[in-house]
Amino acid sequence: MTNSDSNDYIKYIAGLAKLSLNDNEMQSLAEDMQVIIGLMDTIKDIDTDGINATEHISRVTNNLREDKPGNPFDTEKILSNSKHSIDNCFVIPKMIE
Amino acid sequence: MDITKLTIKEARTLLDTKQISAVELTTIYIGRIKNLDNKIDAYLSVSEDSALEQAKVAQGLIDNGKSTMLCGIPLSIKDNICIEGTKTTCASKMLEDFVAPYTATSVNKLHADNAVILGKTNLDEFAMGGSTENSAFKQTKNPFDLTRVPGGSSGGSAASVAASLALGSLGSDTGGSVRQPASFCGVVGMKPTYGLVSRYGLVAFASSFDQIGPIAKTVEDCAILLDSICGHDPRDGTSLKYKSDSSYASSVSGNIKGFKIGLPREYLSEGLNSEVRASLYKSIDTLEKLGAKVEEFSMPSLKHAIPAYYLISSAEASSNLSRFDGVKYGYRADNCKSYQELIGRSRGEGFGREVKRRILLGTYALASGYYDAYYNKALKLRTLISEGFEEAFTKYDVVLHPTTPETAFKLGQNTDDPLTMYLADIYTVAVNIAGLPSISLPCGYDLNGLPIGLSFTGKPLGEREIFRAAATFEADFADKFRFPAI
Amino acid sequence: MKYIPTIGLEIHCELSTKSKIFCDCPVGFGGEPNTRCCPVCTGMPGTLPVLNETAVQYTVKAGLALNCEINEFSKLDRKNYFYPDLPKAYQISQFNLPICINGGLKINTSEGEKFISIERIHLEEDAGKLTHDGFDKFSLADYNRCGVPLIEIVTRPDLSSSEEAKDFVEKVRLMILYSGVSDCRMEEGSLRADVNVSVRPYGTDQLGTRTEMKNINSIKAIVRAIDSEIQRQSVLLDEGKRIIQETRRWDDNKGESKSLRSKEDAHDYRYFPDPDLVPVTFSKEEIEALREMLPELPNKRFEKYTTVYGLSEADANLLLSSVSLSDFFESTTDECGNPKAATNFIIGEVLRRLNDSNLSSDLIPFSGNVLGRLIKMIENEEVTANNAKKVLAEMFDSGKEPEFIVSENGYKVINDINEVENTVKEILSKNEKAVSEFIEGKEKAFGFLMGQCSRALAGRGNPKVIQEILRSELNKCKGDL
Repeated sequence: MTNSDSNDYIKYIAGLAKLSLNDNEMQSLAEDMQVIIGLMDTIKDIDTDGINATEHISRVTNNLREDKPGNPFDTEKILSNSKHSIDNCFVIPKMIE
Repeated sequence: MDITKLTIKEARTLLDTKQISAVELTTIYIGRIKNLDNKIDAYLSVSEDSALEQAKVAQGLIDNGKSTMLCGIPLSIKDNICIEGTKTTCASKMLEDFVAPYTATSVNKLHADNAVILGKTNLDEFAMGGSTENSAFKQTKNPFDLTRVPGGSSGGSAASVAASLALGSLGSDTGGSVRQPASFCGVVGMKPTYGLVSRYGLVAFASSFDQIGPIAKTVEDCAILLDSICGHDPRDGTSLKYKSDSSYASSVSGNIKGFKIGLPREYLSEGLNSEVRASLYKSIDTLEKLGAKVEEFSMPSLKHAIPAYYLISSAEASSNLSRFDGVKYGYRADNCKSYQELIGRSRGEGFGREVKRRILLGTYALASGYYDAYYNKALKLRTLISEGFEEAFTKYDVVLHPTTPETAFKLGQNTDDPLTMYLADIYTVAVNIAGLPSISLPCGYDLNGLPIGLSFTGKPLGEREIFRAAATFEADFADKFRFPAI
Repeated sequence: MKYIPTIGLEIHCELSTKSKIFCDCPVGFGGEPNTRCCPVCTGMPGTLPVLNETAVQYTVKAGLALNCEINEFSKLDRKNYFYPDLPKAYQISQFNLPICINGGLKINTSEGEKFISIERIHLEEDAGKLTHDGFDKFSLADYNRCGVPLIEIVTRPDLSSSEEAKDFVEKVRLMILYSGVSDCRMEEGSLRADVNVSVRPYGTDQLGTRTEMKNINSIKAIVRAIDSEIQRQSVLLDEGKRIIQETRRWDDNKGESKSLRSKEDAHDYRYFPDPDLVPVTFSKEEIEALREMLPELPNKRFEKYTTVYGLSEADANLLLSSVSLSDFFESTTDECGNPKAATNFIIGEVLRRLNDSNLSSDLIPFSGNVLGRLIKMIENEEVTANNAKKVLAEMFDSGKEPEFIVSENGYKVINDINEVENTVKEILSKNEKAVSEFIEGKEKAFGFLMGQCSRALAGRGNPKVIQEILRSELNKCKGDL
């Protein structure tokens, strides 16, 4: 990947991760990422054919809970950390469809 | 009584024999925090009133002969563990005002044992880092040298214990975040087997690595803390339904005659500082003198631990941290006209640089077209590393290694160099990759007088073996153990 | 040009568990915003999901009802995307190892039966609700619905018309209803469908470009949306234009769909195994035990109603239209032993009354075997059919037992010949004019006398008995002349 391709790609990734970055920050993070991804690329040539991926580190399965309803939290407590609420709802700028 | 040398075990005796009251003990620690923490900056918040209240209740129990091991013992808690009604900031601007609406299971267990919670300690933002320099609020200093980092991410916790601003602390360990700062600050830090301690209420960094672990002055103190916080939690679907036959505190007695200890050769290569190396070999001599047999072995998959760790943990982190959007809690950017602007700016302005790096790396590793080459490949390396340890534990009771390749570095030395920072985690991350228990304790000091840490790693649920090995070594090292002068 | 449509469906169905999928908040409908919420379902930092056992079992049951194989090992994955109705910014769902795979069921088409394959059924969590009305600059988010367990039933693109889609959704809905895992109330959004449509010219094999319409919540709307989309795509192709692969929004009020600006990055969900949830496993025995727990499903019942009971297909379908009605019918039949009489009484009387008062069949105030006892009384000629209707009305009003209503109102049929004879004689003596008209050969007079006798017996006389005695008494009168 060339530098400019890689910058574009980091821009795309930042968009995917919903991180608004100004141009300076984007540039310097892209440089960091270039180096970091370089370190990650060292695994590319390792032969892992036939090896299972560890999708869960826990050595157990199921761990289910019984379908027993409890008491929900007070609405006030649910909203207490929100900077903006109206009518017991969280507020967001108008979603335009 | 020399408070700087006091341990939980000793404080227990003082409390139970009425040589000191729980309120007096808590008052001493509150006083020390007030006088000394402006030098160390270990705490992000101190709960003086509730701590004294808890101490009063504890004293009542002691007076009625109902004390437990932790009854009236003043502790600190890393500020990524929730306590209802108090701020849990994760040292992030994102959560600067966040008041937890519930309490973490581990803290509830400490409450149940009537421990006293002094306050919340500093960390690298969202536990991402190894120096506590990534905190949005404070720079915690190393009590052994105030110009140096305390390590991280549980740097505030380790420093609070080393500077005797708490008798013990809970940290969290995702890739070494309990053991590495314990090592830098000359105290004992322990990471339990994945699933032994509930993660409920620990703000997630990388869910398949995170474990809450104790930090204290001695191995036995760590075991006492683990006894309190371990156990199955119905609120954590990954917590194990396991109960140790006897307390972990009881496993520190005994000896290590005939113990077989493995030393991975891959951890002895270049990056290892010569003083750390010398200290390691001295420790091996001690262990052999104590009756253990130490042997080098090779585990080639360890070479891939760093990229595997950073890929998987960042992937999980990118998803875990997506919930911070400015809507429900946390930093909310002003004057946003659209949801896209609100979420983009809240995250762009609320997260610090290292957190952004991890989110970008993790998003990259999971993105369509990259998943197989990065994330899934890293999961396969995870298998190789787990299998490597499994094989090692067919031959050895515990695995031994240095905790870090270097001792505590200068403040600001590595802040602009993420790669150096990442590579410094080389000896600690493999343990989290395989979900194993590991403990770091002081084994020496370099020419600058900075502590050097030694780690014992055990097989899954092998806490008792590593406590025993560490405690045996610690007993021999006791007269060389140093306390920082602040 | 003529085109062949290809249609696939993703049917979302809320499971009727008591608590949410990952926390113990109660599941419900309506109510004040954010009153069925806790730190887990609102995605507070540090919280963890713990999977509801019943939600898992319900998914297996739905799969078994829809002829699926059950994966003995399955896992939950995170589907990552930002939307304000999704508090964690990822939906816990299942990616490559869903609980159920490879099922399907037969539908009826104009060309006979057709098997529609179900590729998979997976378990996932529902999102919250956004409202956009009321404020100029704001939308509001309510998380009550967050974490309600959902199953998503994904078909292969086997459907070729809106009629087939309608029949399929109706059949799936019935199967789910009968398996008891969801109430499938479309009007409350507990069953919704995403529709994928493409068309291709006759005589070609290559499938056309497909479009998707999301969250359609009535069967009628599904039909209209499919027809409209087939039409739209056909016109475009006729004009030589291309179909764009996109998500469209169906507006059922306007009867048209609109392109949703392709949501940026909507297609990179970055699925990965959820590290907070351990895998779900089943043994063959556990799967069989769940199969045993399933009630008799509608296809089996249909078979029984039409062949064993001899009901018409239309009647059978009507009775099967809800689980409670079918169960009611079965217990009525079990009690009275006459499925046809039960059918007639239920369709003719019970359903009419329910319709009149706008009630659903699960609100019948008495059980099927109670109705069966009433029908048995008719069969045994203990109460007349006419009075039985009055008894039923009272059962609806007061919920009293039929035997009690019969005796309270004196509806019990009089089978005592002496009493009938005396009444007939009395009527004849009082109506000499009618008697003589009858003797003169006017049959009409017989009907009048019959009516007089019934009235005198207060409707409790067995009409056959009255008729017999009346005729013999009249014949006596004739003889006397």
